[in-house]
Amino acid sequence: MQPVEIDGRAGEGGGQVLRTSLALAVALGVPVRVANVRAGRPKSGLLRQHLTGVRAAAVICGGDVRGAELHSTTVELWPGSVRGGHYRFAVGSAGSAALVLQTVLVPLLLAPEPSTLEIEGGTHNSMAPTFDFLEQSFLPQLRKLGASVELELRRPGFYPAGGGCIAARIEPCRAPRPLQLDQRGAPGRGRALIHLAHLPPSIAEREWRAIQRVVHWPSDRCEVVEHTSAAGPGNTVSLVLPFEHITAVFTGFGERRRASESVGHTVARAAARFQAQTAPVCEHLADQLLLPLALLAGGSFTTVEPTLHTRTNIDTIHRFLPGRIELLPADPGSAVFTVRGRQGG
Amino acid sequence: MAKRTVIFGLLGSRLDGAAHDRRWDQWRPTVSLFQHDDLEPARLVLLSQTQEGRLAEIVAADVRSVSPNTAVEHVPVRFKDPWDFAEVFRVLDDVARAYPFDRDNEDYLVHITTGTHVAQICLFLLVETRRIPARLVQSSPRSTRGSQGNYSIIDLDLSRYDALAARFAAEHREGVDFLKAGIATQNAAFNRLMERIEHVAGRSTDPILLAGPTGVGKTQLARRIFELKRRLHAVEGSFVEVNCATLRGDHAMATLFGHERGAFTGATARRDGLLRAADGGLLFLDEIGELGLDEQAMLLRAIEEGVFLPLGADKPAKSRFQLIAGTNRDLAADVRAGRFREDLLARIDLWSFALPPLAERREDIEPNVEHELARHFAQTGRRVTFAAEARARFLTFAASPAAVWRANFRDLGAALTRLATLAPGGRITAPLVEEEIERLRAGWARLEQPRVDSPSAATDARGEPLDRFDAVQLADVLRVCRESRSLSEAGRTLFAVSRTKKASSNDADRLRKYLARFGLDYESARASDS
Repeated sequence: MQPVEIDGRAGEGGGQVLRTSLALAVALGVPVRVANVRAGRPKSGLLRQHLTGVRAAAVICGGDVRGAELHSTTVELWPGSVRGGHYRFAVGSAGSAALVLQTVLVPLLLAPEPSTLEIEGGTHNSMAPTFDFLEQSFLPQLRKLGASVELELRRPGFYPAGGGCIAARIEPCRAPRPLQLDQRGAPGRGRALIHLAHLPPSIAEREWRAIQRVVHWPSDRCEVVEHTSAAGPGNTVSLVLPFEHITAVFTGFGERRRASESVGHTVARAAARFQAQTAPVCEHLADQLLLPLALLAGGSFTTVEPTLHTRTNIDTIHRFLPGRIELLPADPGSAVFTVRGRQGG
Repeated sequence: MAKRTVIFGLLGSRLDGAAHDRRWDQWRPTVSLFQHDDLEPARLVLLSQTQEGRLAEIVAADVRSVSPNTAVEHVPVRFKDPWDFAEVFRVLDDVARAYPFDRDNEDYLVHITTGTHVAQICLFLLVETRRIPARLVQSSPRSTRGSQGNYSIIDLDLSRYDALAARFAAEHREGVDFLKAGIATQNAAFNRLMERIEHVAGRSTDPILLAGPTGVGKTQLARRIFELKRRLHAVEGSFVEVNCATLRGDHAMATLFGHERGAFTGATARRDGLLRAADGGLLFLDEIGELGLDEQAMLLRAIEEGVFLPLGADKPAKSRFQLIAGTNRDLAADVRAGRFREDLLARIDLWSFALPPLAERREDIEPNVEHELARHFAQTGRRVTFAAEARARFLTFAASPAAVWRANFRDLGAALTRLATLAPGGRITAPLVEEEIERLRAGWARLEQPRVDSPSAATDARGEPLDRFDAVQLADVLRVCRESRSLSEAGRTLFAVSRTKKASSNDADRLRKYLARFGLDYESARASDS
């Protein structure tokens, strides 16, 4: 079989194209060659975190890889068949554990056996889904698709120390169901979830006060989790907005030399923007849903205007499964995705 | 499969140490090196002093946190004084010697950002001398983005640095051009040879042997090697040259090694000799094979120990010089024949370069013709050029097998000197070239005349001396016998003309009788050596 050829420069041209391609190749059992990986970036080619993803994809299906080396700009994966089991992956340089999970999660739903995963690395990274987003926003939708997945934050990992750990339990998805998500439904009680490791509590207080000035929530809506087990200092602020059919999560990241008020204010503004709209699916969740929908039973959802990131994702999926995803504009500022899944529905 | 990356580093008691709760805000070289997403070290070999155990543990744990697939190997070291150069070097060298390097599977980096300056210098030296088969890695802090910093890998194989390499290459090219006297020679073997000599000249003070037939330019090359070394500041003294064929007897000893006053009859004054004149410089001994065995022995001692005994002196004299020896003889054959000391040959044979004869470098004739004409202009102030046709004719002949160039560049130089001098109005014409070609041919032909000087033909088989008249004839008869398969065949060859005029002939019998006159039969004639 000829490998599916993917140009790593397509669209936004980051690691996302690589991860989506790997997941599709493993799930569909078709070989893939990704060329020009991260072409034109200052440090071009595969970096450590990408390598972890490539190796993880190969391990869960007993596949062969070529070009799995640092700085390699062409990667080939010749997958075998996906097998469940116990897997442990570790991402260096505080890279995101969530991005590794994203590479292997959907393929493992299609394995005949259940899997348990331990992924070490960063759990709350600014350029990747945080654990809170995965658990609060993504998992409930995944369960609606018929998937049984449990996630556990064993230990948080923040930049720069890393050292976090996410554990996952994934059951084979034997009866996939299509998704219908065109409304948010009735709103629930929004809350703030602040993670704090090796930093003074005043940081959380300042962030929360800045949030309150935007969203006007009563003081009992703030939950501060202090992590003494974290390897190094870290701070994130997540605003969790539950609705009847969907939960949206927006996260801000505390950084050195950045005022806590600014962190709180920025994330509260993002949440307020979402509240002012009607589409149920935020752009981050839209990114995460396309792959499971395409590989399971499909469905449709209404989302905000798709980002370049999302469009790149669609193009990559279409290289493997042409024409599966249809995008129709809906109300101003929103769009409806219809995905024809491979199974059931 | 790519090799595993293994990083060696000293625990930096100052830079790697930090207040515990502030440590992730700071740049710590050892930890930061494992935070890079374009390095994937499989192992850290952390050298730390025993009293730094706690810091070593913290650093090791933090390295594992930022780089979960990196194993940390603790290697204890013990410096009483980390600023004591000899001690630090010894301790680090011991670590290097004891370490089971696996270069087939592992790629080593030595992190030199931590440790005292003394330790950094020692690590540099250990890497530079390949006692640690590694590249260096150096890290530095960066003001933005927290604790990670920058790193750069330094390969002490300087040829890998483009900018430096270009610089060295340019110098090397200049050196090679210089050795070739600026002549754009085309012969690949010759050019490779000059590059190698350029390399050796810049680095080595060991003897150099230049082998090659007369006239290939050994003396000029030796002089140019000296000039090049002077440009490279690799030599201070002077260039001293002598042709050993001009040294005979006591005179040879005295000329080379000097003598005391009254050492021999006529030694009215003390004399230093050439070896002492070459002290700190370069001594070129051309035709070294002509040197007597006594002189060879003394020379060997002078090369190896820098001392020798002048004639009539009680105390040895000292001189340190680089020897360049020239030879057109096969010195190995001379060793076998007992004419040349084996140990001296072994010593001067370290850098042995065989200069090819001009006939094997025909593509270099044209650039050398240009060079000779330029030289003529420089010497005489008279510019001489070839007429186009004349030039083509000369070059065609010069490159043809008919031009044997017996004396190599000496022949070529002489030919061009004649042409340039005779050129009417500074123009070398075709008739002049024809005349010169004839002159060259004739000169070579004279030297090509068969020479009958072989010992076996100068006396007969019984050892009786022969007239020259007979010796010449016998030599040719013997050659035909050797080249023939039978007595009859040899006879037919020898009497090829006269036998056609006879009704019957017995050439074999005629030859047998001829040989018998000299006490030979066909078998012994065949077995004779030239």
